[in-house]
Amino acid sequence: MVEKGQLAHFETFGFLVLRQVFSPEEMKDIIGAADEMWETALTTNKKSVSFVGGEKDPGATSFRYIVERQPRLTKLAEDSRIYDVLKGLLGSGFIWAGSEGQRGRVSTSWHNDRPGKNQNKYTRIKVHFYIEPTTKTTGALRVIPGSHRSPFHESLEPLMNHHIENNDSINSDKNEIDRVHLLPFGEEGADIPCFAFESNPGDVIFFHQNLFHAVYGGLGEGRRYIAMKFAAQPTTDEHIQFIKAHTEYVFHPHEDFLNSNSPRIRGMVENLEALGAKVLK
Amino acid sequence: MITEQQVYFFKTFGFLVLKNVLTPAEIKNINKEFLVGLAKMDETKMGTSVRKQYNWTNLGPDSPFTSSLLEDERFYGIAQQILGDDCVGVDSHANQYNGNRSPWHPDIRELGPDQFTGFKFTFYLGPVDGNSGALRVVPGSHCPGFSAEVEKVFLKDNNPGPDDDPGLAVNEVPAHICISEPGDAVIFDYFVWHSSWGGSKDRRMVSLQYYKNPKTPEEKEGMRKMVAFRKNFNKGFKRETKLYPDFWLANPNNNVVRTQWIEQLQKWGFIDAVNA
Repeated sequence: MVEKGQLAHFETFGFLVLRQVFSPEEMKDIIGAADEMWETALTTNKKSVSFVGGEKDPGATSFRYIVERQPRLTKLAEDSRIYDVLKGLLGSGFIWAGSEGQRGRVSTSWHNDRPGKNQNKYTRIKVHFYIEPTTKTTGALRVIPGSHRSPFHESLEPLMNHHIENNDSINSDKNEIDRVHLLPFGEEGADIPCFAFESNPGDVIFFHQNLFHAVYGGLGEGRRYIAMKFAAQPTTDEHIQFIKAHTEYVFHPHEDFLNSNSPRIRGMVENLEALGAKVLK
Repeated sequence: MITEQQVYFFKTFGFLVLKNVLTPAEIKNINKEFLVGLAKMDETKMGTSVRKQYNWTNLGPDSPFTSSLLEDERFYGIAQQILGDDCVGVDSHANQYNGNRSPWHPDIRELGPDQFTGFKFTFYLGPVDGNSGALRVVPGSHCPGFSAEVEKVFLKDNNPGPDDDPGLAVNEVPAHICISEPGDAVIFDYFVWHSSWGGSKDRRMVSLQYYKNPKTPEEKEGMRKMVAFRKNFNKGFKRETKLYPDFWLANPNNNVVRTQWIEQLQKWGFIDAVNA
């Protein structure tokens, strides 16, 4: 469960930080399991890996389904220290919306994960576990508190244009003059006012996916995190459309989750079949 | 003048830091006038909150240079960019803080942003950072809705939760810290939530304050409420001098801008209200 103050913090600022949720021993196991998955993926299952860093960061990789494929990580999704908090933030009936493991991305400019009109009215949460200590200038997740809320959210949308233009994997030909003109607030991304989630292994952040976030000054190849994504129970056609627009794969849950012995895990995916979900082959 | 992007920054985040807008010689001059005002303070005039604050007007004869900054194009010009050409310079204060923090608050809670628009320049006369009393702001918290949500967050100082969930200390609220050196200015919207943490004794700050000239029926009603609010607000400070001293109202240099402002302030009923 979440305390009333924690719920107010999440609703107001769009995120909640819990410190030292997992012990060093637990983190050692989590890190070991994640490393095994990364190594396997890079050597034998390259289809599961996306290279997300473009020219700036060619070694940066994102590994989808990392939690679903590795039982030692799957248990994170049903761990009461995570699950109960999500229940408090999203309400009963929340659904699984995927996972990813990221390695080596040096920086990510300001963006929110679910852009689009009214998208911020449907709460989707990303849970990040950082594997190395991070500080503001060495890979910490930066967030703009309250930026999931209208009208503040909309006033920050010019940052999204900058994010798209500044993403080398999308556009590698822009010149310096264009880049400067794209700074909507006259400040480099690293100077946009924010809160930096400076963390140690074992800390966890839950954030609303419409919250503007960024990373500046990464740890290079050493920066690694595991992320799990969840969404409130979809109750309207608009919610279904929102999921389809950004995360169609939510409707194709991994078979290990559909066949899980855990009622919590199954409960997050089995009702999706009524919404047209199919098992991932 | 500030750039169009800086105006957009201010309107979006509710604050803006400007570097090196006053020269070292000007800071020296402000400090000299500050000490004259401070010499007239004693413990009976100190605010009772944890801020341990002395507050007095800069519009009197003791601080002619500081009061002239209100009409200075460097600041009035920026106010016009943000609030419109006919905005009004309403106040300049000197503050000395002796407490170790200022709890989180917006300067105005009684009105909505559709009823009132205004902001203040703050100049810290010594260097301040996150652990020595720099202004902390929640960016964007001047926005409608967001400001009201912040009211719901448990804050140890002024909105505590139950014993097992007492709330956040000043330095635990997610915020931007406006690091400032003498000569810098921090502008912030009256509605933005702000605080400070770790301030030592004798932390000095002077402010310049500007209001938008009300145009819409909502804004005119807002100004009427603002006049009433300021009348009561000022009772909280133990001042011996009027907020608008005769010296300032006499406008000895016949400053055209000040003449217009005084006319406007009288029209609003502001001078009578706060001097009462």
